[in-house]
Order: sequence, then C-alpha cells, then structure tokens
Amino acid sequence: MKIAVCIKQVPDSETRIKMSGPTTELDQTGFTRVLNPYDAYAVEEAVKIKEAGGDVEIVAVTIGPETVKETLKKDCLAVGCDRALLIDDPALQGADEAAIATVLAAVLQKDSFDLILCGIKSIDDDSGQVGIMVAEKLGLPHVSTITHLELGDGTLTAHREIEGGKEIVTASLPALLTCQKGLNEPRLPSLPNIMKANMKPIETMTCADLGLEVPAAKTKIKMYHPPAARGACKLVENDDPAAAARELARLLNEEAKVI
Amino acid sequence: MADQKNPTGGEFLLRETAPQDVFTPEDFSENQRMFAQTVEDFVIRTIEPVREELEYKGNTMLGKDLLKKAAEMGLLMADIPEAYGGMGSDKATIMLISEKMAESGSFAVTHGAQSGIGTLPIVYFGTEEQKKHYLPRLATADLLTCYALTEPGSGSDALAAATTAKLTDDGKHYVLNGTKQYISNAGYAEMVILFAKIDGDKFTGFIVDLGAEGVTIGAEEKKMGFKGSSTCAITLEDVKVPVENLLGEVGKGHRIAFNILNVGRFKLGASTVGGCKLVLKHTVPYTKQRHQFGQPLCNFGLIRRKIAEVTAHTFVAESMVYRTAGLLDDAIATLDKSAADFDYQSIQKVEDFSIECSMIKVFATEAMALAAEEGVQMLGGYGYCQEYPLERYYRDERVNRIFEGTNEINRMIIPGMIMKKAMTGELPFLQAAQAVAQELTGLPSFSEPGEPEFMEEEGKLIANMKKVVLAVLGLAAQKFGQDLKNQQEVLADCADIIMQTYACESGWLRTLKKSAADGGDSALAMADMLTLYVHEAMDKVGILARNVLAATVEGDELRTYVAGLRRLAKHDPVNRAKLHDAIAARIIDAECYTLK
Repeated sequence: MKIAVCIKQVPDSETRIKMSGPTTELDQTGFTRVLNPYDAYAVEEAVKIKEAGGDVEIVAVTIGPETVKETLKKDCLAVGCDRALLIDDPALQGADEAAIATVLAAVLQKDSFDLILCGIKSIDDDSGQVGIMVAEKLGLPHVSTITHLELGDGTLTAHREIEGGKEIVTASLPALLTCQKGLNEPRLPSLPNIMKANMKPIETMTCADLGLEVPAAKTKIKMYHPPAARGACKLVENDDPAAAARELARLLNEEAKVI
Repeated sequence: MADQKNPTGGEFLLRETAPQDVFTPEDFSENQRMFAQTVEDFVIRTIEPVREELEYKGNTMLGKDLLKKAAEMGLLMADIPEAYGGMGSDKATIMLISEKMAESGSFAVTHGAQSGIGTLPIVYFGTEEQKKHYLPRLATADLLTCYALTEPGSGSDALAAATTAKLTDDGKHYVLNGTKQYISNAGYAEMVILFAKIDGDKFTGFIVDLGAEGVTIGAEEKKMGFKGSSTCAITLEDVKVPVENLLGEVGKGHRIAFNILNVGRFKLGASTVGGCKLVLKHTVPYTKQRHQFGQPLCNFGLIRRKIAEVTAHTFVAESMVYRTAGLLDDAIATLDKSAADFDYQSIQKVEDFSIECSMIKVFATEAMALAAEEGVQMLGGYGYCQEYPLERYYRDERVNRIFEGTNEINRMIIPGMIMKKAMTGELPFLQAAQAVAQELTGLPSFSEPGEPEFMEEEGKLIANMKKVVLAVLGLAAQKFGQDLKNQQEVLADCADIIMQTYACESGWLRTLKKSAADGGDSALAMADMLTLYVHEAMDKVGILARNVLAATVEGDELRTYVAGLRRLAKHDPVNRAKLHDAIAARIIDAECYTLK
C-alpha cells in the first residue's frame, strides 16, 4: 500500500504578525515555521496504518521553499514517513488554492497512491479547499473532516463530523481524505528518529521537472488589513451611579457610536 | 575548530582565543535545534498536564511514569554510547537538552538523576559486562537508577563517608552498611550507584540492587523546592553485593565521584541558563500588561533595568556554557573513538576542564538566582503567589547553589586547579604572572588613544582582567606558598575574578564571531549586553583584586600593587541607563529572551 500525505509548513500559531497599515505582503521575517497542525493528524494516521502491519510506504508531499525541508524532516520523516517530495519552484510564489491543487495533483499522478491524506485546512490561509480540489482533479472519491478511519480490502470506512452528530461514510480506494482534530494524537519525533530521518530521501523538483506549466492563480490577495488598534480604556468616574450611567450611554452613542 | 594544539583547562587565561575557535549557540546544527524543539514539545505535552500534581501537590511518584515517557522520546539516550543503546551525543547536544529540560521543573532533577549521575558512572567506569548489562535498560527506563554519595555526616567532604564494605570470606560478595541521604529518585529507583569504604578506608563505587535484602528507603524529604522530585535516604544493613558489581577500581571511588560531579556541573550550568530564559518568558509579558500610574510597568526605568540585567547575565552565562561545551567536544574529538577505553578517556578530557565546569556551575546558578530574585520583584505580589511560576522558580533555584558541589567548594576548585596545573607545569602560569607583576610594579606606559573598533575597548578590558588574575593570584601564591589553600577568602575572590574574566571573554568572543559571520549590525544586541556586562565586571574585578592585595601584602608594596591595579582596571564609565533601555526594549518587544 502506498500512502501520500500532503502537508504544508505554516507560521506557528503564536506568531505575532507586525503590520503598520494595509499591505499586499506580510513581513515574514522572524516567523517560526511549523507543520500545519491538521496535517499532523494526516501524518499520524498514515503512520498508524503502517504500524498496523503490511507493506506500506508513506510519502510526504509538499510545495514550498527549501526551508520546508526542516518540517519534512522533523515532522514527517522523523515520525515515520519513508520519503518526501518537495516541489520547490519560485514561480509558485503567490499561487492560490487552485494552482497548488493542480501541482499536487500532477505530482500525485506520477505514482499510484492507494490513499491520499490531507489536513482539512491550513491554519494560515484557512481556506480548506486544496485537498478537495486535488481529489476532484484526480477523479478520486473524497471524504472530508474525518475523525475516524478503518481500512478494508480496497475500501474504507470513515467517520466525519456533522452538526450535532457524525456521519459514517464508506468509499473505495484509492481515495483522498481530509483529517480533522480528534482523528488521533500525533506523536512527537524521538531524538533517535530525528537522527534516522537524516538518512531518508527528500526529492526536490520544479514544475518543469513534472512536465507541468506553472499554473496561473485564479485569485490574488489584494490587501491585508491589520485589525484596528485598541484605543485606551476610558473610565467613567462619577460617585453618582445614575450620572455615571448617563455619561456612559452618551459616550457609547456619541463617541463610540455603538448604540 | 580543533586548531590549537590540545587546549587545556584554564588556558584561556594565558592566551588569546580567536572568535572562530569558540563554539556558540549560533553554531547549533539542524539536528541539535530539532532536539531542542522536541524537548520543548515534550515538556508542553507531558509535563504541563501534571504540573499541579507534581509541583504543588508534591506527587513525587509521578517521576517513574514520566521517565518512561521521556525514554520513549529518546531523552535518556543522549549520554549513553551507541553500542549500548544510546546516541553517544556530544556535550553541546547534552547541554542543550539540559537547558530545554529546565522547563520541566522537578522532572529536570528526576531526568538528571536517571540519565546523568545514575547512568554515567557505568558509561565511564563500568566494565564491558556492566555496560552491556545495565546501559540499554537505563536508556529505555526499563531500569530506574539513582546515585548515592552524600551521607548524614559527609556532604562537601564526600571522601569522609562512613558507609563500609567488607568482602565475605568466600570472596563472592561485599557486605555494605551505612546510610546515604538526599538521594534523587530513591523513591522508585531499582538500583543505585553507591560509594562505600572497603575495610573502612578504600573509598569505592558499587552498583547496588535496591531490591536486595537489608535495603531500606526512607520517607520523602520535605524540601523547599523541586517538590515533585523524589528525594529519600537509603539505609543499608548487611546488604550483600556481588563482587561483579564493584564499579571501577578498589579505592578509586573518588575518581568516579569527582568526575561525575564535573559532568553534573556543566549540565547544571546549561539548565540554569534555561531557567534564566524562563524567568524572562514569564515576567516580561506581565510587565507589559500590568499598568500602574497610567503606564505599563515595562515603561519604567527600574523595571527595564531589571529586564536588562537579567538578560545580560543570561547572555553571558549562555556564552560561557556553550563555549565550554565546545572545549569539551574539541578535546574529546582528539581521541580515537574506536578505542576500547574511549569513554574512560573522554571523562578524563572533561576532568581537564574542571576549572571551566566549576565556573559555569557557579556563574549560571548565580545568574539564575538573580533572575528569580528580580523576576519575583517584577511581578510584585503576584510573584509571591503560586498563580505565577516565579514563586516556584524562586524556591527551586535555591538548591542549585548547594548541590553538585556547593558554590563555595566550586570557588575553591577554580584557583586551586589553576595552581595545581601551574605547579605541574601544565599551565605556564607562574612565568606569566611574573611578567605581569613586573609590568604592574613598573612605570606606566602611555599609548595614543585612537578611534576604537567594534568591541575593542571591551577586548582591552578583558585582556587587563587576565593580567589582574595573573597579578593577584600569582602574588598570593608567592606570599602564601603552601598555605594558600587555607586562605579561603583570597581564593574565593580570585575565583570570582577568574570567573568574571571567563564570562566577559566568552560573551565577547561570541559577539565578535556573530558580527564576523553576519555583519556588525547582527551583533548589536549582543554588543549592548556585553558593553554593559564588561564594564560592570571590571568594577567588580577592581574591588575584588584590591581585597586580595590587601589580604596578601601591606605598606609600600600594597600601595605599588594597588597603583598598578588602578591602571589595569581603569575604564571610562558607560551610560548604563541608556544600555539598560536598549537591551530591555528588544526583550519587551519579543516577550522573551532574544538576541535579535
């Protein structure tokens, strides 16, 4: 069995983004980069399938710059993936979900994967589209937001979260699944496994290597707006509660313009 | 960086070191950075959920399960050679793991007892059979160990132990009797590395099965801090230990004990650097949120001064710790790794740097004491309450200055070892001291001041500090001769001068290395801290040296030396408030220790 796990390196959720005003590009210097937490569920699920036995190969697939290799090594190869594919193409800078999905589909098509696992979304762009688009481009069945997975002979049964309950879905393999929190508890890489990951291959390629023309983005980020700065707290001081309330109402109405 | 012909401990005083030859935290490899991240993640995931139970309810038995979890992550493997199920990591890696383990609080002590002092005696002094038998299981925590040196009647004077061992008539066993106390992990350990005197006089190491008949584990000590770490006494009554469990050589237990302490010292240095960083992490955000007199605390000069002082001490301590790691790793790298006695030889290399190990132990634990003290103060009433971790750091920190050799004992070791090396000719200390003495008592030379280069002024001060060391320790050695070892105040003051010199030089070399690698601007934060630190240190050195001189010579001789000293220690004051402000600004912005 061959499993592909599509991952993305994202800024750490505690990253403090500094913006002085609206901008078309974020200043990313000093960002700490980590594996997208939802992708960690996908990696862990693949590793659990491998550990359950049988001949399983896990390939981590990603798009990004050279620096993504750290994430591939520590969070994929050191926790049990066998090898990694990195599409490092400067022309993909600014690529949108559709373009990313096109490239991923092209890479995944080169090999015959029985199962493709993705996180439900990445915590930076938060669009939740890429996995599903890849499935569509590859003509595969997909199940999104899974919280439980069982594999049968050429089939799978997945649980997915729906409002107020769960849905149990079956599908045939090959298939693409997007993974949700609750699916498993991702492990940390152990120190010896980090050392062993040094020996596992990371293959780097460009769109040209894939025989693919760089797909044009269908959407473009026009502007990032910082949230409005919080003004200083104004304390209404008056010993007479009724007068204080009147003053507060006046301020809310005339200055804050919220009532 | 192994360019110098076999550098030896204490040699930094007698020669110039090139910035590119020192190891700095900026030199960590990708693997090392990943290890560090893994330890941080381990603490968040495994320790944080049991923090309350461990630290505030004092459930010491949790340590057992936590050790198993740490073992799954490979966190007990770093010190064990690859051939016995470990990773055989270099000292820089081991120290980085210790630094990151600091956030695990009491578990850091538990971890150190298992993977450090409880394991290393076998790594360094065990026979092939002992290594094969114990080390793989110690790496996986299938066997839990501890280390017993201290007794009710012998602490710093470890060799005065009263525990005895007597060979049985059939020559198959030793019978051990005595009591060991303050033994970390004793509450659940299954074996112990223990020292006893064969026939009452030959101090020797043993591996003792704690399940053996005659072993009693005492109640948990009610300690001031590290309340989640198990600490009990172990009493031995006619405990039979197979002769195969003798560790090292008969009568050579002191070799094990002192060398293991050395390792404990450099690890503690690293872990207290981690502690200093934690103080900043848990106080600086508070100083931004807390408003008084209409502004956040971090706007006030006296709070900024505290942040800057703690940060500068952290930076200097960190520079010393990892410079020492580099010295140890370079020295060990000169050995043949395939040699059968590689591990034994490597501990001898560590021993050669016992001066540095003692310095980083004393300096970093005292930096942590300062950090905890100022951290509590910055938090005010909240610092006194358990809602914030500072209350705990303040208690936990205290023992760092007591264990692994008290800071007093370590201060005696620093000049003591230098004199020992001077006497054996290993360090040409006395010759250098004589030259400086002539300079000091001679006529001053005047040089034209030019426009100083980056960090040049600090470099000159550091070079002068070295001369001060040579002058005062050399003079004390000359005047007191054999009696110098009894002049504890003189020795302690000399130790402080030596330590300040190593501290300043380590930070200075690191700053120069950074600026050479990434341009002067990249090292501005380091340069501010170093400028602040070196000037402050030079003032301290001046006072310490005067005290040593006054305790050593008198009359005209004293006046001549003091005049010479004044020339060496002379420096224009720096605008400390401005430096404090600049240093604090970076930390306040980042809300944690940073060098950017």
